[in-house]
Amino acid sequence: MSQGTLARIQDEFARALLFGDEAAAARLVDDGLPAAARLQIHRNHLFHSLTQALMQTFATVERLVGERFFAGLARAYIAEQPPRSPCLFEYGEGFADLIARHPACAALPYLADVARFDFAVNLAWNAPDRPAIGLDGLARLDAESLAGARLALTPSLSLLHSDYPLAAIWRANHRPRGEEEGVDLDAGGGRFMIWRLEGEAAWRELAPADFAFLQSLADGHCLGEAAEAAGASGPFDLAAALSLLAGQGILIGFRNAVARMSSVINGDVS
Amino acid sequence: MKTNAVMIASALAAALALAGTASAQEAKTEKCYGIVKAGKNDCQTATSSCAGTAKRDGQKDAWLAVPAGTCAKIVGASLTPGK
Repeated sequence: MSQGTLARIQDEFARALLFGDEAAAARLVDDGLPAAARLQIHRNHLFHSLTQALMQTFATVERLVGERFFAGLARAYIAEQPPRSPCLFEYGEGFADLIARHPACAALPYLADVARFDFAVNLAWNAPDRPAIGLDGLARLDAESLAGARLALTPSLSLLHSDYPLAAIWRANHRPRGEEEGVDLDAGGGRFMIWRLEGEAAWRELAPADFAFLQSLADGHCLGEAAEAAGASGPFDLAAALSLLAGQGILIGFRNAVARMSSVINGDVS
Repeated sequence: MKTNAVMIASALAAALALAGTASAQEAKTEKCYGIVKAGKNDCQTATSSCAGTAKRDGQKDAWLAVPAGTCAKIVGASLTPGK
């Protein structure tokens, strides 16, 4: 079988699974069940397994819209963006964006941000462990190097700014079934950091300046630039923000050092 | 006000001095319980390779009707179209 033929068969098989395309069935032999029926079993299994995985990751979304509605969203997502990795906990990165533009969700404008929150909690659970450093790691630098330092933050960290009260929505929907509380959307939005703390996913709400500070650091800006961005966003206490970073295990080192170390590990000497 | 290197260094010094008292802030942190962590760390198969057969593929559009979960409990003016 030539390379081109194999690629075509694989492509047909993928299309059969994702879109119900029938070309692949013609290549399969009947064996007890007709080929098309056997392919359908495979297809059902694919959608069922991936939907279950998405349901676990986006548990709050599922609780909000119900299993059937969720399964419909999942079906649209799976066909549009099938997994690129065998690890199902990584699956779902584009789900919030699909919700944001899906007509069936138009009456639920907060739903995409709830999905982003769920995915951030999922990342907080599953991101690799990196040992945190304390502020004494920064204290070794002279003042100029400190202002120019680019800090590396824990890979479990997500920053999320929403117009909706995500924490209240999350909390209300993680109570026992039947005991969900009502949420007033007009209570206003919030800025959240979501990360892993002592082995548990955790979040806290941040003041605008603290959020801007973390966002700037996460975008790769140096400490001086991040402090300026924070000051421009509201009252800012740099000392308190630094102790937050270190006290919550957010700070893991310096970006340059991390880049250098990973290039050594990867044998990438450039 | 320009943030300069000296200000950052003195903020760090202040933060180091604060280190012992920082735990008071942690009260605002919330931890997420009740999340299913297991079962997604590899290619998941449902209980058998035919587990999916029970789920028939006949509901492609029917779901579009109405969400049936707790979203009825989310209320507010932000829900009105055009937000």
